[in-house]
Amino acid sequence: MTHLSPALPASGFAEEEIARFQDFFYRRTGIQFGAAKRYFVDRRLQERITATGAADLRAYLFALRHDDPDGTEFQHLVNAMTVNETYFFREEYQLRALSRELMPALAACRPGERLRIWSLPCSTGEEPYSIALHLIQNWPGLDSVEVEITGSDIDTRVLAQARRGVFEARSVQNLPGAVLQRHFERMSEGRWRISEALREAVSFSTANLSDPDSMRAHRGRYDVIFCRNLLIYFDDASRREAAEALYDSLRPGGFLCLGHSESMSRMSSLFTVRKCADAMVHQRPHA
Amino acid sequence: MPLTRAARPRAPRPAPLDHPDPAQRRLAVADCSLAEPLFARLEVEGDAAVRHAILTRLGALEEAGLEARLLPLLASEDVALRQDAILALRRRGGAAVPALAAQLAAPEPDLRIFAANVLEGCALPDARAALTARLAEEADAAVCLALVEALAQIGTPREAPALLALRARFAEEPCLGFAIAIALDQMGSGA
Repeated sequence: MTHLSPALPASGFAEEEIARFQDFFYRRTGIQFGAAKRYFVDRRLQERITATGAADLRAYLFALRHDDPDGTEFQHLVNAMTVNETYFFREEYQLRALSRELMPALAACRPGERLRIWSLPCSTGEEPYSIALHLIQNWPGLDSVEVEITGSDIDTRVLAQARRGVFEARSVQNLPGAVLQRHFERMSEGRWRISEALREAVSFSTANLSDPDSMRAHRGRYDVIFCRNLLIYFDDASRREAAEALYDSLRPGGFLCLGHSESMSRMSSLFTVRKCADAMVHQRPHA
Repeated sequence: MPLTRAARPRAPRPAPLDHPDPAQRRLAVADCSLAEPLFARLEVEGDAAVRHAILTRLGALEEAGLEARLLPLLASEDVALRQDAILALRRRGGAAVPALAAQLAAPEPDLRIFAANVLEGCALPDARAALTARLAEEADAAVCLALVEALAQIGTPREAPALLALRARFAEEPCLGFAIAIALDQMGSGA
């Protein structure tokens, strides 16, 4: 998942300047940096200031606001401010809920229809590829039901990595040996590349949960959304905005899977909670 | 293996804000980038989910100067609407702080409390300064409690003297003293 990294040495921006920056970033992404992330924020900001040749943070922020019409530098900033730690079959119990209960239920109530699964944020691709691998291994319905899997992230750099499908040994360590042998190709330096068939089957796109323009194209499209370990970086206000956007992206009756420490109960009355044998999920009520 | 590659999704056509179906009105709200039609819709909207969506959208809009129009909603008798207004104002971040600072001097204690509730989500020097300034002159203990709770969330050790002064001023209010002790602890100034 895309999230914020541990502390690193600070470069020493004035508190008021950094507060202005954090306010700007929050307005655009819904993400809040706590005090514990200050060193990380300072260091990544300094990297962008140096890369753009801005005189200081004030000048950089001014340029972001007024001299970045296509959002290129803002995208660089987002890429710098997010780090991505994930691995295959993370929180596997939710994948079990997907193959044992959610997919059979959806296939039964939408006979003959294509089912769409969205992984947001997908980081470097481990989650959407895990979903594909898990369904191949565990859901016989895949023989007869067309399934579309899309991974999206705010960070364009990780999406490029996801499309390449090359992973470090640490990332695939939870995969059963047979899955690794069957669906991956061993590369040099202990890295593994997922099969071309799976790279072709999973598609990737940019999406910002806090940007309605970015979310509009996904409206009413998905039967299952995995949005895990992202909302913990949002405050109550931006979480409610995200809840609305996720609800709108689901088809009626569709399911939302959040991270194990996340819940919709305090931020939205839109969803109903459904208890599966392996996990708790949120459901958009049927129309 | 019928895993199928997704086609590029296309954005649907926006629905009108006065669509007879509330579900379509919710989507129309999400598509609307202008505050004026959203505020107009809010005045006549009867569906709670659509009202909620309107305030969520108003909180996120780039348009400047919406705070003054959101603030009166803090006086609403509708608890859900008021709570949505608090979060909308909070989502506006630093842009809302000047209006909220002014609201801290409102004649109604409840309005001062709600302003403090919003400010506790704005970790900005201006917000801390507004809370601290109000703390020095606030006479209502309930409002003081809200100010203290807000500073507990966003305060720094620099605000500790203001809290200690308040504790001395309200020595007969043990509840306030307890909240101040917790706030000082959270701010890293516990003694």
